[in-house]
Amino acid sequence: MRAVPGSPESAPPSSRNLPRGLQQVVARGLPLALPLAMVLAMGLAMGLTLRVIGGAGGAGGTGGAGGVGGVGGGGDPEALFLALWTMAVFLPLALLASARRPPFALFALIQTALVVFLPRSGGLRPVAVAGGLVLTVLVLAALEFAPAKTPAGIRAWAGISLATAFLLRGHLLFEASAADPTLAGRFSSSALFGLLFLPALATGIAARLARAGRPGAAASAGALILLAPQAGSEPWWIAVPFAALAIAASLDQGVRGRQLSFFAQRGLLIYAGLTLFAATFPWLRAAPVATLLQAAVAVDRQIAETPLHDRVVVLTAASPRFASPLAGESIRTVVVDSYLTHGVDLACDVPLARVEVTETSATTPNEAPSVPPQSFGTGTLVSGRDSAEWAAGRIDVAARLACPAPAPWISWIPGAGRFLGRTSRARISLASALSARSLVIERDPNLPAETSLALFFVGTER
Amino acid sequence: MRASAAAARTAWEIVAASLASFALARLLPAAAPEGMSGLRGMLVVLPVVAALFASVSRRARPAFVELALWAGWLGLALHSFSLGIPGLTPLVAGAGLALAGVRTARLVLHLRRGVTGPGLWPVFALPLALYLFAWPWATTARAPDGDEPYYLLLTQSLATDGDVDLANEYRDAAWKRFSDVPIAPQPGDPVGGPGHEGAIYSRHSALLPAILAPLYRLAGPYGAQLGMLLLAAGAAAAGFAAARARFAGEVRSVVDSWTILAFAPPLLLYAGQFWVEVPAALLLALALRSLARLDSTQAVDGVDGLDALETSAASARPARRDLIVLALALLFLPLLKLRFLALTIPLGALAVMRLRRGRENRRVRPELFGLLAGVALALVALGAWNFLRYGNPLRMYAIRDLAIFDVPWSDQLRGDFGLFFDAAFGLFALSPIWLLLLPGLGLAILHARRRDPTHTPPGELLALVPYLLFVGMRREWYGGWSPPFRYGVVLLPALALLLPPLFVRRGRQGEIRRGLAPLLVPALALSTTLLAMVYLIHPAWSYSLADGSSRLLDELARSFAHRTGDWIRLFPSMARPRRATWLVPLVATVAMLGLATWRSRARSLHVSSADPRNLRWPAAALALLLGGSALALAAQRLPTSRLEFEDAGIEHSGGALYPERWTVDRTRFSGGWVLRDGAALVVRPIAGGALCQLKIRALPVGLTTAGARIAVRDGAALVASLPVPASGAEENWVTLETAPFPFMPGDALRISLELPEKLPARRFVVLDRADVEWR
Repeated sequence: MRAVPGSPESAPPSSRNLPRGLQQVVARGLPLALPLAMVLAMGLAMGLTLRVIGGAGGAGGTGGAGGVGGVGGGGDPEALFLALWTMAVFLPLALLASARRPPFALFALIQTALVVFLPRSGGLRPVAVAGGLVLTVLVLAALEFAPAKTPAGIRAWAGISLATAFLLRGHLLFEASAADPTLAGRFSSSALFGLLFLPALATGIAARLARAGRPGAAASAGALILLAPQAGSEPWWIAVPFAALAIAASLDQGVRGRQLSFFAQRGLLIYAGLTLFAATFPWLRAAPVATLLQAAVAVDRQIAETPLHDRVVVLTAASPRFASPLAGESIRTVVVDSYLTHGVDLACDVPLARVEVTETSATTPNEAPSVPPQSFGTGTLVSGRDSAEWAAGRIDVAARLACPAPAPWISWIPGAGRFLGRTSRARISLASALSARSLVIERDPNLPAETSLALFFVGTER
Repeated sequence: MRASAAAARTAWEIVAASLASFALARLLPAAAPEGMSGLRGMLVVLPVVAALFASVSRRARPAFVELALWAGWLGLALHSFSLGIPGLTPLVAGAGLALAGVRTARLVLHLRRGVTGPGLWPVFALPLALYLFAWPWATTARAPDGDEPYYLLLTQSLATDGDVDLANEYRDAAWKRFSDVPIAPQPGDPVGGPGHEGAIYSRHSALLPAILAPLYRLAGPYGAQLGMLLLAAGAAAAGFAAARARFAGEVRSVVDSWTILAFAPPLLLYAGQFWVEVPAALLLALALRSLARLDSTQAVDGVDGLDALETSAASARPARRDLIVLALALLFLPLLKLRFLALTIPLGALAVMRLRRGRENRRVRPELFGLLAGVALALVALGAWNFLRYGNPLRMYAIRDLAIFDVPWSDQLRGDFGLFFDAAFGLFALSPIWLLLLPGLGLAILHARRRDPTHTPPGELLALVPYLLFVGMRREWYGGWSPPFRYGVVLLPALALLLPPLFVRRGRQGEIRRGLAPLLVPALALSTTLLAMVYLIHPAWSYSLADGSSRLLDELARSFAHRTGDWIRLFPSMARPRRATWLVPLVATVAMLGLATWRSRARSLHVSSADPRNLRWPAAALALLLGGSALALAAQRLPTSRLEFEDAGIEHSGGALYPERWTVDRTRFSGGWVLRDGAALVVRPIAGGALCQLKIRALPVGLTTAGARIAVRDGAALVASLPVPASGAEENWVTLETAPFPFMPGDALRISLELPEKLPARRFVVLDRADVEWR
């Protein structure tokens, strides 16, 4: 004999003997307690303490980067940020009916495990946590809106809108606190706009459209409003299919219209998914969809070798050279992720390092080639285009930069201060394909003695 | 006709998918960056995996979001190296495995609803798909270990030479085909007698290598691994068949128990590895199926719908084919490994008992007796062959190995409990969902006298006891160089028979099966899923040393030692008994039985998953998070009473592990840390008082003169300097005791060896442990 939903037999075990009002509180409150328990578990497992919340106002110089996602003394600000960010995204999601289903519980445990167990350096942890949060929002939203016969109410729209807003712009609270660590300061005008105004507007309009029996239009309007800042930064040609999808998704009348709406809604979901994956911390791409499309087009450019493996090499005046043997595969491009320390005063286009690829195998690490190369390719890393000061995002450093920093490849949270550290990506194209046997990256001898170039990733592309 | 058309379609799809996989193998660059080959392998096998998934249920098509996520994963797998994030590859592999897990879960739900027919293909193809998808990553992330390379070498010998003499394989370094680690004969391996001088045989039975040899011949080590995947999936399917034959009419409950058997570790981890326990599990499941058919007590009444369809297939009286399967399974078990004789004999006895009892069995009685006599004769012939070839009917074993009553009962108990409760080698720590065995066993004991057909019969359970006793008495009950529960893997189909009664949704009020707490299964399922993901992403983490910790706990301790205290002591270890060794199993058992029976008073067992008030899953996650928080708090707050110096939570600066890492039968030694001149240990005890006193157990080695001292420093302050006595003719452990010294919470103690003069390398002190007293 199956229990009938809603009958006393089907009441949840924990609340069956409780008064009805208390049952409601338990039913509503329990999912909300889950994000709080996540933060508690993260904090206790990692020994996080509240003293790191206050933290230092900013690093004195620009030399103490401590590596990507490096940790300064007195705590782990990155872990604390990720824990609070996770909670900020999960709390509104707990409002959804789909939060009672297994994926929400599983995502909660996975997110906790990612924050707690992943290593602190290298950028892996923020990438993984951000990816997990995006998946959580997408999967719960899909589960929430899947039963089309029961249109989602205002609570569902509010939950998803708030979660999306915190996912996209949660880092603004962290950055805003540098200028003004008070609560009011954290909610500066831009944070207020992105974290409260946009979700409220999206919720209101989408819920109203949904109540009017236009779920497709509700989804389009919600997505349009929430992703407006990202959509505005995309190239114009992205706007065309997006607008077409939004219009088609709003067509809920007639068989043809419903079919068109069905496919358009899925197109919009893909658009939103791509935007979320590429526009959140730590990637923070201004034009996320265009970036991902360009990456998809370059699918044939596979990485052949990663000579650094998982090491970080810092080129200084005392140790200016990195050399590595290669396997002899045919390559066309060398990719270098790096940042500068003490490079604030460097003007634009100042040579930072020379990249040389040769077809001989005579090179041994830190030694010059003993035989003349048969053929080789060279390139130069220059400031402002290929690399920049790691703390270029800090307000006082940004004001002193002699050359504007390029768009960051990946952002990260340093051990001290309330700003995002950054690495830059350079792509050195060789004149022709080479069966590369050795790679040398040598710091330019004319750089100031205190300036160093930290290499985080070197890859050869086919 | 429709079934054969569906089978033909499935066959064509798998052939086409295999061709696509071959094409992908050609297209994707083989010379990939380090760590990429596992991902490449996952991409290559994906078409076959997709075809297998599709063959399980045509109606359970992937949702749009699922397809989109698969597309995103493909892009990520191809581009993950371009992102330049160190350590990203395992997470990408994990994401792929999670997606495959989601597909598997959705298909299992369809199987539960009876969407597919009564055939065994779905319950074979679904685990095979998941095992196949996990295999490339697991095999590239971990080299063959323990006995595995020896089985592979024997397989290679059979495939290439057609003999079991491995002398030429060792000489020609044939192991290079599947391993980077040189392989030499194992101590005690049989050698050739008169007429076979110079021959080196494997201590391992040749049956499994003989099964795999044709595939090895076709596709090398990959072919053999594919053979193991098929055997593992076969074991899962046979386990399903055995449970269905036993619990005819309870198909949904049988699917539930099969889900645990097939998709939870340990079978998930052992699939693709070379252990005889996997084919043995297949044989045991086949034997159990035949035994269920011989049992006259099983029910066929009171079933309807899909259950009736299943019942009609399952409840037929024993046929000759079943008897032949039973006889062959009982024969092949000891041929796989002699220790499985401890299963063959009681199962054979059970078969005889069933045959004498059941009236329906009269028809096949002569055949079965004949077959059992044939099995006995074959085993005698095997003993004779062993005697002639190796000079010992038991091959490399001796009669004294069977002297169960000579083993101290505490050792026996430790081994048997360790198989289930040990944090490193036990079933429950590896896969918490198997904790359901405890209420399942309770239920079976409660109903043992009633001959209730909806419960696990005692005969099958009793037949496992000799094997459990035999394994538990071994000093290396933990297996060694293998994932946990190695010796128990063979028992999994039998243990899974304890589970269906727990999931039965019909029945009388007040029984324990009505009382399975709703939180229990989600909480255990979530924790098992997380652990399985960890072990699939990091296969090497399932391999532990018998040193009181586990690889997973070591990783945890290394991550948090500086901040969150001593975790290891909170988990039970039968290799190194401590308070948690007995306390945790007791608490776990009481908690499981308590939670399982609690619902019999609260009654409301079955809350519809569609009910908005159904909070089982978030409540289970909340319970796990709060439990984890409590554990972290305990690790930070409970005062330290003992320090084990080789634990991963202790900072080692110089010195070495004692005994060395690859020591066989490690529990013979008091594990510790070798402290040499210049080496130091930094320990951070959790304070339990203002004064601390250490009692350090140490072994001086090669110290012929006095003068060496063990210095204990709290920061810069020297709090104790303990003279180490000179070693005598025999090396003896000594206990060195400090005077009580003041200790502030958070302090770190630095322990080092100070010598009056420079000593040769072979002179050192081994520190085993320190008992810590607080005042």
